[in-house]
Amino acid sequence: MWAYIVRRIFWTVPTVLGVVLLTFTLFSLVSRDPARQYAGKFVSEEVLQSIRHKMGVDKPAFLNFAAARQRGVAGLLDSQFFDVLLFRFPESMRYEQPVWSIFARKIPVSLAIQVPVFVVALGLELGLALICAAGRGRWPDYTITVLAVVGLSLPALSIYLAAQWFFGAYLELFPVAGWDTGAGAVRFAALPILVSVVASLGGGTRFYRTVAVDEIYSDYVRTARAKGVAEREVLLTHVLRNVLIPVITNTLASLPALVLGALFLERIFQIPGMGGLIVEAIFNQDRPVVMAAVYVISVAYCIMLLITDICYALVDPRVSLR
Amino acid sequence: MSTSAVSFASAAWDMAAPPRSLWRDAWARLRRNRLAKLCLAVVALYVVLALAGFTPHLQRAASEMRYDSYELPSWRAVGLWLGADHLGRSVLWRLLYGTRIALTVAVSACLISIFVGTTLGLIAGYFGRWIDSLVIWLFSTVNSVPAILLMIAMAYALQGFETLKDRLSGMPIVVLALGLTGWVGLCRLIRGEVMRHRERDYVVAARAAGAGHLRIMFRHILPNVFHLIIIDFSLGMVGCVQAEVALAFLGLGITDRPSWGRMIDDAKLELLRGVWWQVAAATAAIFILCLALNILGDALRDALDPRLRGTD
Amino acid sequence: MRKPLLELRDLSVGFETEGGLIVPVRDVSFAIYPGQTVALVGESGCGKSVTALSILRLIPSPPGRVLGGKVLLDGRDLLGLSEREMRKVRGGEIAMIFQEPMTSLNPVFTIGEQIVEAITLHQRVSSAEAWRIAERSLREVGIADPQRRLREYPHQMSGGMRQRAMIAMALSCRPRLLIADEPTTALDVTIQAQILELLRTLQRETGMAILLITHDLGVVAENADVVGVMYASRIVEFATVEDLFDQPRHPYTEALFRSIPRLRRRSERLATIPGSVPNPSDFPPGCKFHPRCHRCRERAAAPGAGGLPEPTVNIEANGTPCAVAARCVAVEPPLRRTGPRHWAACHFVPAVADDDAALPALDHKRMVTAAGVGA
Repeated sequence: MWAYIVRRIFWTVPTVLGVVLLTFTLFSLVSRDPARQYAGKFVSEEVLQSIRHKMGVDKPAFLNFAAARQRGVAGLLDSQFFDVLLFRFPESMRYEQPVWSIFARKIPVSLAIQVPVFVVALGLELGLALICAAGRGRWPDYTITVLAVVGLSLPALSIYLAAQWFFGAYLELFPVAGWDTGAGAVRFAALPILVSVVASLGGGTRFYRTVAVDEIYSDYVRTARAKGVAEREVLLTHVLRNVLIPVITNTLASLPALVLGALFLERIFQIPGMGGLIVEAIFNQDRPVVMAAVYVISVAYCIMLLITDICYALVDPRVSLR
Repeated sequence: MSTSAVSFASAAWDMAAPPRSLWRDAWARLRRNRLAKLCLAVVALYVVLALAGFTPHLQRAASEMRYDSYELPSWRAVGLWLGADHLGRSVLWRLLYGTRIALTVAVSACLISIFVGTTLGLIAGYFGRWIDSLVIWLFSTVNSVPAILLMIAMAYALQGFETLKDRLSGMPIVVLALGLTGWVGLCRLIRGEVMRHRERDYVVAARAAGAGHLRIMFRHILPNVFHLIIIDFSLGMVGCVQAEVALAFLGLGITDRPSWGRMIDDAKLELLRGVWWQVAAATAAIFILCLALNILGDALRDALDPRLRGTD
Repeated sequence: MRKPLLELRDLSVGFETEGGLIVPVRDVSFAIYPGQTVALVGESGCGKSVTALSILRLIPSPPGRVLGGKVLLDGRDLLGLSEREMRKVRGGEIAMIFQEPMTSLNPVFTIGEQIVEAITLHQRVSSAEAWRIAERSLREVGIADPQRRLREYPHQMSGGMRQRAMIAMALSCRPRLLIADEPTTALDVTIQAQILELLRTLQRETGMAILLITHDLGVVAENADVVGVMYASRIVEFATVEDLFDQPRHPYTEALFRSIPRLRRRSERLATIPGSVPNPSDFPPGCKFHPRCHRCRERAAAPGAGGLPEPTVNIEANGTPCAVAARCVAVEPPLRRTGPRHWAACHFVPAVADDDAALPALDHKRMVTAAGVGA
């Protein structure tokens, strides 16, 4: 098992490097003139230069030979590529603050919404999936499956907009948009949380249902029944343990996305979280923020996948001995 | 032998006829599924509408500002069946024109991701060793970035190319962003299947007969994994249609042509003022197409799943 | 006269499929006596596994269902029991082992946990006592170092050992009947012999009955007391093992025996039965075996008893037309008693008058001679 874990850790390194390369390629190599993109058409060349300097795009792409002559290795590595690799991000163009401090403000807000959504949605999805597996082929299974497919086919944006209008503007049950700090946040968070759970139920339920139903048709379930185990025990003891393995994989791997916040949810409900930040940064062509967000979240995702694999090795006895 | 009820019953039924190819079995099974046939018809309808969008009449009708701003839906003119938007343009015609955009984008993006995914999956599964490691590294990397972020990053990066953005209404940007993001799933599946098939006797036999690598890959193995491509295409279209909406919302989508995503995006402020028809129309159009594609994709998966055939 | 332990009377089981109702088990009747080994033999698709699963009501209920008949355990109809009462029977009075020991054991639980589960379901014992019983069961099936094995996972054991563990699990509650569904098919030949020997030994020690499902006539020869041959979802022959091997009456059984290659006889080709097993959705009319049967063709060619010619009918079998006896196409022959220890379902095997119950039931234990059976 330890060999497996070490191997996995080893494998993460090239992947992270790959992410660095990807970020670098997209933001430095492919994109044409980020300064002009930011500033628009009617700016002088001087202003553009200063913007370029602020964004850090006036540096060479890979290795800075010019600076190396003066500052040695530190100078050599003063390039766009190493800026990304070493987490050296310039300040946000719009806020004029270091990217990290902006993230530190926004992430907790996103989490305040995403964590409850995650927990509630997971619980509901697993429960519904087990109900489907228990009553497979009969009406609970059919109705839940149909509802799940319907939910999957509706664009999430429409659900958010419709809920915002119906519960916020029409019924006036919840505030339409906005945020408050501390305890006041609860009433602003309520509707986004509800809506987000409903919108994501479809996909998760269908996935877990497939897993649960697959397990329920396994041979070992037949053996358990032949031993005289009650149907409920079969589901909750035998099937659930086997279902948990893909569940863990699925959920742990989606945790970094929580930080991402729901881009659209936050935009529509005017919630000052990471998602809203990224959306805004796109509109404002705020390159440092977009780049940093993409990079940081991706690296976090890699690490999360690594942790998932390790947990998997701990939980599934078949993996332990490889 | 598993007691999967479905597999038992299907296997019992399939034993009825002499063994046929996977495709004929699948077709027979699909034909019996009335719901799948209905969905196929719906998708065909959308295709027809999309083709109609190429005619100049529809293009003109979609951009004409004939009516009052935010005019309510009414029966008095065909163009008003779904009301008018803030510029007085007919929502109905814009919706129908939007079908062309949606399907063009979705099909092109899916073709790109299928092409990339299949090629990489084939060579990774077939050749193994360092090529396999390289492909795995590639898709681990792409997989590490959450899909939306990757699309955003790509769309952002491509924004600098003026021609792509302005003259072609940003379509290539969207298509590339969607296509280059979505290949990972299919690649993984195909790689797995190819690795299984690589050990099969028919491959060894082909090699013994002197067939070269390319021939074996494309003429022998590819037809055996083709069913995965079909399923991925159908379900990938759903993802593309929904992703286009997301990109439009972020301002990274199609610029001056009407698209369903733009219509929903425009609707965000309208809705609070009680103007519901544009968002409802676009939502309905997306919903029906995605629902049909989802059901069809599931039916295809059930029909093409070799396990359900009882053999193997 | 002993009473049978288990009686199946006219059991029929059907499956709803997209193409209609398929009936893989039709009017199956036979009895098992205590301590007896009854083998149910037939090719794949003949319905033997479904029959076995139906005894314990393990057929998934949509789409399968019992169409009729009774399953009597000591006179009690299992088909009429409530689910809770049925659960007491499963594993307690009747236990079942399956073909694939790897997938039939839960991969995420240890062997010990799974055996203890079976024990605690049927016996009122403490947890510690249950583990001790589990350890004893493993020892009984010949697994060395049972303490350690209890804590292992299925994938850590070899195929043969897994099957022994399954047997231990099944026997831990001392069932009166063990249903063994192709228990050795997935194992190596040498392990097969060991497992079957183990089953025979355990049967002697515990006095339980065994219903052995298999397609292998060799296994039948060495282990069974009484044999039922199934074809196309029905029992077509039922006899003591000695009688069956000595003189098979049904043409299908005859053909099966003829197709076994013999070491001492010289021949050019393997004898086979032409054609293939019909499938349940497309059964031929009358006797289900007639398209492949040599007897109905012979009878058509030569006149029967009494000098009267046999009415014939032309059928198309394997693409070639031939003449067969008409009654084989018109009427499906019922399973009738054709001797003191023999039942067969063929029009051309004369039946004897039967005063006893029509159920094929033989309270018989095999006599093993030095030369074996049917050598």
